[in-house]
Amino acid sequence: MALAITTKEEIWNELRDGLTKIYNDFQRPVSSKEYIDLYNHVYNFYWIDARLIENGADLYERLKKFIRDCVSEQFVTCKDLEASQLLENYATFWKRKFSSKVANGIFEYLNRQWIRRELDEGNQDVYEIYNLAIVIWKTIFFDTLHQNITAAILKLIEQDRNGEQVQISLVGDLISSYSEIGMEINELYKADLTIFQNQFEQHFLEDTRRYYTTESTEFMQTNSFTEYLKKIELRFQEERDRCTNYFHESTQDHLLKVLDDVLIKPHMELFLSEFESSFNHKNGEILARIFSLFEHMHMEELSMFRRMLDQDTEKKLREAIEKFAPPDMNDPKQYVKYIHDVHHHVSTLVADPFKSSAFFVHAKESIDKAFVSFINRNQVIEESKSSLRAPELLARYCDLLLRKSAKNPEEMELEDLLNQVLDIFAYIEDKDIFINYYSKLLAKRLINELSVSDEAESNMIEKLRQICGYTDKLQRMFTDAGLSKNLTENYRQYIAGRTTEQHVDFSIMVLTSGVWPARQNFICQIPKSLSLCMDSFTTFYMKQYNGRKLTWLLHMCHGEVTGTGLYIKNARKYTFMASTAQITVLMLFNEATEYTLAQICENVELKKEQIMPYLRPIVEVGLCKVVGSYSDLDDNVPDGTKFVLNTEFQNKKMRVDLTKVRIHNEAKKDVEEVERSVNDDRRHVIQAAIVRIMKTNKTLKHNQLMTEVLQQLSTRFQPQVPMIKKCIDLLIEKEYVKRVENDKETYEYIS
Amino acid sequence: MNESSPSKSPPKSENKLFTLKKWNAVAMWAWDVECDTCAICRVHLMEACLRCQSDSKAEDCVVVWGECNHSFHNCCMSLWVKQNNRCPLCQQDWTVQRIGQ
Repeated sequence: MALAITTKEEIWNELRDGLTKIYNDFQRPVSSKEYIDLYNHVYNFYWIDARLIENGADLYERLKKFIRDCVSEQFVTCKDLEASQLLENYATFWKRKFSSKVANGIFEYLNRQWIRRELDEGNQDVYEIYNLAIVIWKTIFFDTLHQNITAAILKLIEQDRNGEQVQISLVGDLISSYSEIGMEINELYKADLTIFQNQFEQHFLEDTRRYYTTESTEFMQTNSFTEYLKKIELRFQEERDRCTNYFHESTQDHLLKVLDDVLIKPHMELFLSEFESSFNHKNGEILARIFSLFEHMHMEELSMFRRMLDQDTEKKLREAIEKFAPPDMNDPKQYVKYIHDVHHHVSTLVADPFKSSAFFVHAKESIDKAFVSFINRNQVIEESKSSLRAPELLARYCDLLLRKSAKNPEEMELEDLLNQVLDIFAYIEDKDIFINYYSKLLAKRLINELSVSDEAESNMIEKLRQICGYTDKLQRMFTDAGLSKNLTENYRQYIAGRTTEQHVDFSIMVLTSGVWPARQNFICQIPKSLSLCMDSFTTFYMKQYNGRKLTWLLHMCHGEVTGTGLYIKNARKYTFMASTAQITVLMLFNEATEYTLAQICENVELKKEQIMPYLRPIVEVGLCKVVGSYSDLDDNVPDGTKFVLNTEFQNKKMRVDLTKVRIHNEAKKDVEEVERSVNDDRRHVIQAAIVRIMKTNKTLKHNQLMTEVLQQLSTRFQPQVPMIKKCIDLLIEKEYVKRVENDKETYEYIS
Repeated sequence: MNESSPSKSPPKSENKLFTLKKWNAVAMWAWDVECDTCAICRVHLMEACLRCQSDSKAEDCVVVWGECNHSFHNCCMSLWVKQNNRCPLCQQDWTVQRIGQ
């Protein structure tokens, strides 16, 4: 840099020339050399002698005059222009403020030194350079012209509303000057919308009100209600778009309120009567338009419309309930058919007329609401206390469909029927109860290989997962069944390769504990051939897996026993299907043909009430005779009762099934068991939910926690408030959460 | 209990009234552990740890035994030893004895 420059005047001349170039063309890139030279001039001016404060003030005043001259020059070319030209010039000059951004950088040293000092001392008349430029702009341009400009913008918007071709994008540039001026001259540089609101928004809203009052009145006189609806829908959209594109976001609420005041409120009675008549005439298009309009506007009247719809749905539902004969609540098939018929009937009347319009969604919502209450809290169902509840009925119906039988429907029909079940399942509140029953029945199908097909089972599990999501255990049961088939196969190969004394055709099902609704019921004595099987399989299994232990579920095992050689009169060879305890009993008869009950108990190592259910079928088919008059064989049979093998046994069938064991009160026990396990699960799930919620929130008020829990669990079941409270207490005891001191209503998470 | 099925010599079925032909057995497996809850994540060992549950990798979440015979979810333990190479229950140095499969 030339060292010759020694006076302030000379430095300023250099600076002024540089600035002039910058201000003359704001789009020209400024080279870094040019920028640094100018920056150095500022520095040198400030340090030219020891009178730093004077130099700073001097430079500030010179720059201020420079900018003022620039802006005044621009202003002169604008002030007498008519509206549209004015807007364009104003917008162009406003864009030139970018030059002042560059100047702000060049004068950064002054910003940091002299200006900072003045600001710290509370000098109200000094601004950082860029703000100074905005303030000068405001005084010269804005304060004088804003009324003209506002008027011009409003004109532009009106033309746009009228559909004329205008350069509407100008509005954005202009409006940004309104909000930036407010922001920059406010000391804290926070968004300050007062200038925008006072100088523009107010006028804009008044204008809007005027414009649409006229339009609305005129339009109504010559057009139908439907046309009016379409028109204002369009207007709402246009105004909303304009707002997002060009104005500050806060304007939208104010604007919508004006539109509401002018376009909807004055015609409210018309809206209401039109809604009612459209509803009666099933005019879905109009209904949908009114709904979405009112929804967008958060209008209270919407809930009235909803109520009207709901009441109609409920009326149709009541009619349907009267129309169809109530089902036998112990017959799952009848129940599902009944619910399906009623649903179909109501859908046809309530939703179908709207099929082609957007209102269909609302009608369906209303049906869903009515059915949730009908299925879960229905009087017909509540009154008959002994009968099955909806979740159990549904699960039993699934079992009917998925269990192999002579009456299984075709694949396609099966799919349809299962989909019907899923439709109803979606309405069930206590989905966990359904899953519990389902899992019990699935277990029976898988263990006894009674499924109609693997594919049907896994499809159904997948569909249930889509509706309620927590079907992991069902899925794992299904996987276990597949794994067990391989395991049996592998074991057979393993056994075939060695000299073995096993003569029993062995197959195995290994269940993952905790996944299946099963636990060990009893241990009893078993024939040696079976314990050999067990041991040999256990050895094989432990080689395959690591760290596992096996528990045998004897009450679920069953086998086949042939009886030969005994029937002198009839050389037929019978096959008996028997459960493990029965196998043991039959084997006893290889040794002797007569036992007292006490002897049987002793040999099998089961108690009387445990063995009796297994003895009954043996007696009933006539394979064994009871000495004495105890025909009904209840649990009070005396210990001394003699059981004698019937050596003249005859049966029409070659295969005799002894496994139809009736455990006393089994159905009732099932219900109790499900209830218990559902309650356990629920407590577990609620606690997990509480821990999750508390972990994210750290501290939470009692009521908030309750709401969160209820909301999170609603897809599974409707938790009872007392149960949630109990779970919170349990978690406090277990030190997962605690009550905040001095505030009994608030909980805190203990990490 | 009486010997009811042929064991040492080939079966002489004509002598026996009943012969066992077929057995469909049902057994349940569980991890062979002393305490069935994972002390690190406080979830039952037969269930996947919370992390695997949320990543739905439940099938792969196995159990690990230390030399001290204490057992945990393998994923819980592998995170734990990064912080502290001791068994959380007995404070002995942690050495893996076996991993479940």
